[in-house]
Amino acid sequence: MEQTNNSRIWNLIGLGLVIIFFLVAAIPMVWKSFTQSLPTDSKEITIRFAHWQLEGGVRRAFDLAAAEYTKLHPNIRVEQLAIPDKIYVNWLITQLIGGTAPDIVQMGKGMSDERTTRYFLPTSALSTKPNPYNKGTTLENTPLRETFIDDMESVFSTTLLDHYGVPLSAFTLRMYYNLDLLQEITGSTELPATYGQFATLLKQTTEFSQKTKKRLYHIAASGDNAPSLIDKVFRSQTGKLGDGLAYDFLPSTRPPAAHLGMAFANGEWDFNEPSMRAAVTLLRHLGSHLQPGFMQVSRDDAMFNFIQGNALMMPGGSWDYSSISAQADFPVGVGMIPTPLPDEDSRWPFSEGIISDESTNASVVMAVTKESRHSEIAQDFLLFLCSLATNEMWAQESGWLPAVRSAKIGSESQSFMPNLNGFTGGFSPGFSGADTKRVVQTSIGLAVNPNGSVDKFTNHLNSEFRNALASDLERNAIAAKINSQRADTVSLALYVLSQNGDASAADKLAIQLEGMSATDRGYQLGLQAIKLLK
Amino acid sequence: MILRKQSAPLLPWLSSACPCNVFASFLLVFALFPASSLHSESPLSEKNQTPWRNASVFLFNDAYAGFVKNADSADPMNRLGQAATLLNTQPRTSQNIAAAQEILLDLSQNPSPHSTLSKLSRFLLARIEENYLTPPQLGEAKSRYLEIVKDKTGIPLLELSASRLVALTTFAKDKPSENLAALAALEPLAGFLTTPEGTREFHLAMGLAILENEGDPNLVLSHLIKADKIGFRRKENVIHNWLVIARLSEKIGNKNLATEYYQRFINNFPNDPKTFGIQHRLTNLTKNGAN
Repeated sequence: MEQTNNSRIWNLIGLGLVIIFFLVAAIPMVWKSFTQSLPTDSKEITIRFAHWQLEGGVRRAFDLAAAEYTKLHPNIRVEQLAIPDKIYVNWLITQLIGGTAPDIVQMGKGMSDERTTRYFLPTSALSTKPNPYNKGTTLENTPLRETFIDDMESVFSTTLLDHYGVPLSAFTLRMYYNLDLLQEITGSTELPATYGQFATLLKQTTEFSQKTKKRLYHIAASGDNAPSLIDKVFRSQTGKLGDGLAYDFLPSTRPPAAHLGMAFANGEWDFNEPSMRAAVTLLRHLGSHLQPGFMQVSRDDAMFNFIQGNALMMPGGSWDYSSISAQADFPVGVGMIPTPLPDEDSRWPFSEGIISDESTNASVVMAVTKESRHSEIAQDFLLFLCSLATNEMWAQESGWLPAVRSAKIGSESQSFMPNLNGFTGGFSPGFSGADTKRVVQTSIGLAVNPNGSVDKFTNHLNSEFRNALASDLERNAIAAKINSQRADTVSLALYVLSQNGDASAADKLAIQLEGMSATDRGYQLGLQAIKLLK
Repeated sequence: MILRKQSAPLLPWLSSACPCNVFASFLLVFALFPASSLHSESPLSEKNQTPWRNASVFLFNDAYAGFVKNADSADPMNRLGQAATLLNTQPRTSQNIAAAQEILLDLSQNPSPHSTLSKLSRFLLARIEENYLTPPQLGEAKSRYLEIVKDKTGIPLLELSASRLVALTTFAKDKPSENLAALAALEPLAGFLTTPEGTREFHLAMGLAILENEGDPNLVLSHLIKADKIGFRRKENVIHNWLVIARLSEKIGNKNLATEYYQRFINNFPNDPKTFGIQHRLTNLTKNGAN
């Protein structure tokens, strides 16, 4: 009997505990459910955005912008997810396919037309209206598109005919240098402005290294940054070459790959062309002062050499500045990459002048995902990010260039401002795609190694280039054909929708028709070039 | 005929810089709605709107699945949708292309060979013959394009048939002189074109085709200037056309025309990376005369 009573008491205690735990679990849920039914203003909402910019300063700049946004909208919290770039593509695709992507993601890596249109909201509708966060500034009445340095061209998809995302920054290529070392070697704190003076600096550095018995690289380079340097070297010497070609239809513009291919096939240029030889001579001089084996060196290793004080200079993008200046224990200088000027001396008769930062497009593009549960708030946060005041703050904090026109930049970023007062330059041998780039990059040793020579490099390219060029143009032609085929279905669909009263489809169709002709023309030119090359 | 309010221009600098292009833009949009409306002939059902919308944003597999789900043999717009999306459904197979051809051949005759639907079907058939079959059937494609141009469809998309004919002729022969003769035979096609877009694309294609074959520069300029007067929407196309006109004028010693078009580029695109070089070229042109 007593045992039965004890058992009943324990059962009651157990039941009581169950009820208590139930209430503990249920009350917050009921409370949450109650609060969620309140008007939007009092709901706490979290917006997440993902990017791969792990460079120093950038994450802090994003955090500051997020905090400023929360000050304006206390019920909205903004969290950033910084994903290493090596895994970004796989991570992003998994998230997109799984329906778990953040509200905003950085575009650029792993994107295709299909992914873009399937998973992201276009920003074309926003682009024609002023940014509300620019109220009270000089951009108050300016349509969003025109507030960016490139009129949002970098986020306009010429195939999808829509804008996707907004850009936050812009990048340029510069030469970083160890200011203390430079001063020790030359007594100056500035990099030389002309190539002749730069050549003297390289010589002085060799002498300094020998005298001090310090192993010092003139320029820390890697397979990551050297191709841009090589490209600039060639462009500085081949600007005038285009003028002599039969297919020179576009002044101050690099001829299309198919035209250059046709001219090469017709024997109008090859690597014995004087301007090409001048470019290779320049490459040999500059390349012989790069870190040995640079094409096999990783970006991190080159940067490590520079930061450790083992190299006087290192070419790099403006995106590297915050990381380099944070890690180097010496003052870091930033200068232009020098190329020969026409009146410098008679050695460089093919130089036109200073080569501009011609391809400075806005970048760090952020876009709202279609899966976002708070897409309107996410878009609003994007508008906040790319407003004049926030982009200015973001740029100053990150040390990167702003993407918004008239945004003031810090004194440290002045050296990275795009220089458009220069020539666009000519073309480099990797103009047509992966195969010509491969031929140049794998044979670069013939130009820059001590036992190499201008002749060895040019002879090699003359024998290998034709097949590589044909292979690239074939690939380009296939791509153009696929684009042309896709345009058939898209343009018909736009026409059908426009006939059904869809004004946006009518607008897109008007643009699509121009694109179709251009794609088809490119395809025909490519086929002709391949025919001539084979 | 459907009229609509003109939306904000995609490239506002164009209309603000070149008043002539405001009118041109209006014409372009207006011309998308020809007298014989597809909508009145073959209205688009509610359930087929989503697949067409998917097709317009490159979601071809989704679009095709949508058309198949709503399949109705009595609905020609559904069948046209199936055919159009079969062309780009992945994986692209010869069976899909053949199935699309079969549907389009039927639609080109039914309900009437004069209907807009029939003309659209014939255009897609020509595209298949030109761009999808291995080997391509260029002769058949050319005949269809020519037939469509002569139909005076008044539909910009279909009037691209004229520029397709030019493209197929540009490098058809080995000798440039033979290509130029064949291109000259296409000049009368301009008389069949009634939309600004079709006309512009034809003149642009002709100008560049003659240029590629090293034909009469003045004839090239005449075509390109006609295209320019109609106007382009895409900035890159505006720039391309202006600079080709300027460069060619410079080459043949037409200093005034070269100056006009270089100056036009500089005025409209002061922040373009090419502007510095163009300004330099213009200065030399003014100083030294044309070369």
